[in-house]
Amino acid sequence: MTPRFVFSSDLYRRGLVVLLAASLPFLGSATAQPPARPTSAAPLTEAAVVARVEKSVDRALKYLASKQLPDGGWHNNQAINGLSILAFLGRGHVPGRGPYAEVLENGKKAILRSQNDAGFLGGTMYEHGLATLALSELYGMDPDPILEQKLRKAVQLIVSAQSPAGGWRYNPVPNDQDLSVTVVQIVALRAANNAEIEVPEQVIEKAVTYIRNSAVPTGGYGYQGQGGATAQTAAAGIVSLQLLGKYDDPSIPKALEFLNKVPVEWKTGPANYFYYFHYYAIQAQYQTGGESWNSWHPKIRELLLSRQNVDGSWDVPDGTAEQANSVGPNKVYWTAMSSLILEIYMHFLPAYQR
Amino acid sequence: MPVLEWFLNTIGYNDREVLTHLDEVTLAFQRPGLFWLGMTLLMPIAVFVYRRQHRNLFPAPKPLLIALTVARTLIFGLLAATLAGPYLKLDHRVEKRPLVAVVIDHSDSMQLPAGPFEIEADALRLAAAAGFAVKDNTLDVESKTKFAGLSRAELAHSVLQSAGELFPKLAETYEVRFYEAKRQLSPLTVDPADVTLPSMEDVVGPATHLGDAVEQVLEDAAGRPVAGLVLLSDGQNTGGRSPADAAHSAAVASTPVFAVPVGTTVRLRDVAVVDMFTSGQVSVGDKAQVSVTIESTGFDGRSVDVQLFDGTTLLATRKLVLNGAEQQQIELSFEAKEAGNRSLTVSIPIQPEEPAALQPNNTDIALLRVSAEKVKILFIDGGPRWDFRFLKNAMRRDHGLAGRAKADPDIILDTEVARKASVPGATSPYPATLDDLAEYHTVILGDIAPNRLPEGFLGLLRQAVEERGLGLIVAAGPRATPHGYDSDFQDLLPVRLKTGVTGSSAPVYNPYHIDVTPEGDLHELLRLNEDGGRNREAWAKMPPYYWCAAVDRASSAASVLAVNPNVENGFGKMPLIAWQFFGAGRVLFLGTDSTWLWRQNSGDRYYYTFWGQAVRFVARRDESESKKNHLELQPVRVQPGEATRAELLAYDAKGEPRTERTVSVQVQTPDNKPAQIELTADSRQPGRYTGRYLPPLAGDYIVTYEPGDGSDRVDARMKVMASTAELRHPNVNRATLEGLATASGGQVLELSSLATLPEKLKGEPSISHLYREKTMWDNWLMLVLLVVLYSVDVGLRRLVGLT
Repeated sequence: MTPRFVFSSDLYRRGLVVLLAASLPFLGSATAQPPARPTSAAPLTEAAVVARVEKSVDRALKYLASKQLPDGGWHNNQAINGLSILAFLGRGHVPGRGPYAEVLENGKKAILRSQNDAGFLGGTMYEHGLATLALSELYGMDPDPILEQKLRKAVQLIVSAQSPAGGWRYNPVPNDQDLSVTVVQIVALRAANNAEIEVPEQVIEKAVTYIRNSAVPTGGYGYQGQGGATAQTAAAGIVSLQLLGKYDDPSIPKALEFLNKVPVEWKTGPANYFYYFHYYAIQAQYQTGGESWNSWHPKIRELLLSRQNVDGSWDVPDGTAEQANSVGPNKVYWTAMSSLILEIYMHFLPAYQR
Repeated sequence: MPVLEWFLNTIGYNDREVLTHLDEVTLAFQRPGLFWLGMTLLMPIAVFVYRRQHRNLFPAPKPLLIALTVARTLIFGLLAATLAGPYLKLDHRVEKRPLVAVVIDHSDSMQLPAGPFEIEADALRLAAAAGFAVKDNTLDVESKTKFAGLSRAELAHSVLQSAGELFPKLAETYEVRFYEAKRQLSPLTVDPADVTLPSMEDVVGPATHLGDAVEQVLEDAAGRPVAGLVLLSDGQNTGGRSPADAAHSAAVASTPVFAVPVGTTVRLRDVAVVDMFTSGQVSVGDKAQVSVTIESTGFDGRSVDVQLFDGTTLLATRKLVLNGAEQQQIELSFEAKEAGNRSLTVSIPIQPEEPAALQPNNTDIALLRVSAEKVKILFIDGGPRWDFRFLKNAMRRDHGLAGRAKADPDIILDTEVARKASVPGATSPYPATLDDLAEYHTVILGDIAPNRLPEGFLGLLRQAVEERGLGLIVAAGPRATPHGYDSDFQDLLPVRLKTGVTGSSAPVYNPYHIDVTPEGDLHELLRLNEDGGRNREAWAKMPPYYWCAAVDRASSAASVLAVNPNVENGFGKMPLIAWQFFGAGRVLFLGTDSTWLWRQNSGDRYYYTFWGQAVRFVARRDESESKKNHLELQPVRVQPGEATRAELLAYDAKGEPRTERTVSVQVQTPDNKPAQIELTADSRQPGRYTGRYLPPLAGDYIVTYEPGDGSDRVDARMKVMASTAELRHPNVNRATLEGLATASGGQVLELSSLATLPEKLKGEPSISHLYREKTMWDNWLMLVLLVVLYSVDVGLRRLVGLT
């Protein structure tokens, strides 16, 4: 029997915060309107590079499909299930067609089954946010009326759980907040909004205010308030503001400067939550574009391509925080996250839109 | 064989193959035993007949008896031969030697210098192979200078021409054919016994399509075994079918490709603009963005200015610190103040260390249309599928688009309409009258069930298209569009659907692809890249998809721009993108629901370009503009040898569509020689004229329509220039050549090792048989002969009164 994914208070803070990694890239625009920003950064033009990325992701998805459990999930943690579904979607595999139609259908059902009467998916707001995000991306491509029904309930729960300060925390009650959990919810709300599920404007604006208030004067954003700022929260904070349309927020340049100094390497260091950091970071760089993107993306791309296992999976650098005892077995999390990072070049997920 | 030829001609036998090989025709019998028995019995029967007649016909004279005997004996012989079943047989064996194809890349990039060469020993080996005298491991000064000045094509020619006995020996066992590859493959008239190749002036070509070249060789071989395809190239493929696909075809045909890299792998110091992209169109007042991709070698850390010009006017400059490790992308922007077509140039100053041959790749051009018009859009879809989510944002970001009353296009999503319907006071967002609907320029109808639309809406839509010229885009989907709609609506479409099916799904192992038709290749709608070769490449690389609308055929008035090549019937390949006029309006049909797949690797770039062009292409022309002359060229930038399509909407001074069958437009060419294009009237649309034009040389062209009757004179411009793709990547692309060789079962062969080619070739002659049979007894000649012989016998008897 698959061991239950246990969350200690420390784990909430350090371990599962990694789940944020998938959330931020899917933030939509700040308002119901997308930002009035014409197309920017030129596309990847080197066909040989694209071909390598595609091959790598295809192998990874084959691996993920092989690890799907009989109940349709990959774990009893809905964040892992959400990330896995997103990895398939990010490569352009959609419900009802193609080689992974059944994988997606079963994965969706696993998430939907986990919803309680209040609309809560999984056991924490991390799980709920990522699962809601996955459902938002499935919605519209899957005609299942139950999906729409449960998605709307899930979105409503997020709205109702926002704290007065504008953030969210582990439990679905409007008591407290931290940057990690907040960003996950924002991403989910933006994806839902992009799918024309109404989200009250003030919910988004309060969230933006919360993130802005977390900005640290020396560069970056704090985990709670201005305390606990790290490379991870810097990347997460930048992406949050960018995807909410605040590309020119005055806190971003300093945070970006801080981000660009973080070494891209397969070992412990400032980016101790390796996948969490790199998933935020590549999104932040992509949204920034220009020189920053130019110098960043090849580094993480080549690092990941060089570290993929023969079976298509990825491991995690030794000594870093996201070990199997915190993110689940079978390398599912690491593989899903690596896929999502590399899928930056695909531009398929609607929530990725600039 | 004159007798046999005469015989066959007389009986009307006209099989050319047999008549050509008469010397190999033999006589045979179906029952040879019967024939030989008959022949054996001929003499005894002759003796018997003679003695019997001598006895019975005494006192008949001896000559008469002999004549009668001969006649009867001949009759017997003829009957015996006929019963034996005589026939003519031809068994002609043709031995075809395997083919060896020598393909020489003659594109622009092959005019680049062949060197420098990193290792002197390699250079000396090459020089020796090219026919230079190498003594004591060195070249004399004059030879050294000459060798160093060779271009890649010249080096390849020299090596082939100095190959000594290589080709004559190959020709003993194989049929050796020479070809040149540019955009297309062309045969060269070269005698393997004495290899003499054309001079350099005749061999320049603006594109390299290596994949196409390999495919064409296979086609040319027409099933004959190909022992080897020797490809001499620098590997810089700039368009056409991918070398990887071609290598696969070669492997299937058991045709090994021996790729011979020509040129140096030493990275030349170079800064190149490898890509330049604009959105294609913006509105007046917009901030136009130009995305530039730059590659450099040998200039790491150097700061250069990247400049954007409109003609000679500098629009923007940005500094870039060069880094050769990866492509670098930079954006330049400017405010589009005036409407019109802009020819934008991006330029990086030539660095002193760059070789002269590579300096042209420091610039590139792109075209941008600046429009003062706002196109009013109504976009309807059933649910938030991915194409809806991307498209709605694309339209909201396009400042040239608007709604009826709002600054943004009007968007109706049925799932939200349904949810809000129960809210008290909810009103329908749909336009209720023809006038309201006809205010829009374009309506996009996505995948929504017809019973979700207000009653009468489809009738209004049809009327608006037909009578008011409203543009309609029908974007198919598995839910309902267009298979769920009635025939009244389906009549608008440029396709006819298969009945009883909701769509066409591809098996998992064989997904669908998109093929652009020749018409689509020229059409503005599918022009994702101004460069024709790159445009074709972009479409060729689109990802596969698994569903499309089940179309049976195009309607009679349709123009098909793209097809699904995986599905074919008696009408041809399944139309995927097509358009037609329906009354005054244009209707565009998109059979795929996955245009979001076109975002792969390019993000918004191609997606926004396509949809921006689509909504504008079908858009209703405003009343004030609709009766004015309008001339367009598509594409406005072509390479030498590529055609452009001219479209003219012509009205007389009263504003009525012209009715002449043809109309001429004048062309001002770069060398100021006047020319004309004759445009033919479109029977489907009064006043619309179209035609094709093949510009003769590079430069700027102006095409003018001068009606001469008081109605407006209009003109359009175009540019003809060689693809800069040829010089974008100046070094030899060994990776492409190695991939092509390996995947086809061949190998890379160095230019200096061409002499080892014979031992690597494998091929057996193919033998084909030409076999024919023709019976000889069942014709009128044989019957006549029999009758004549019998008549001689009877006639003689009667003549002499014998019974």
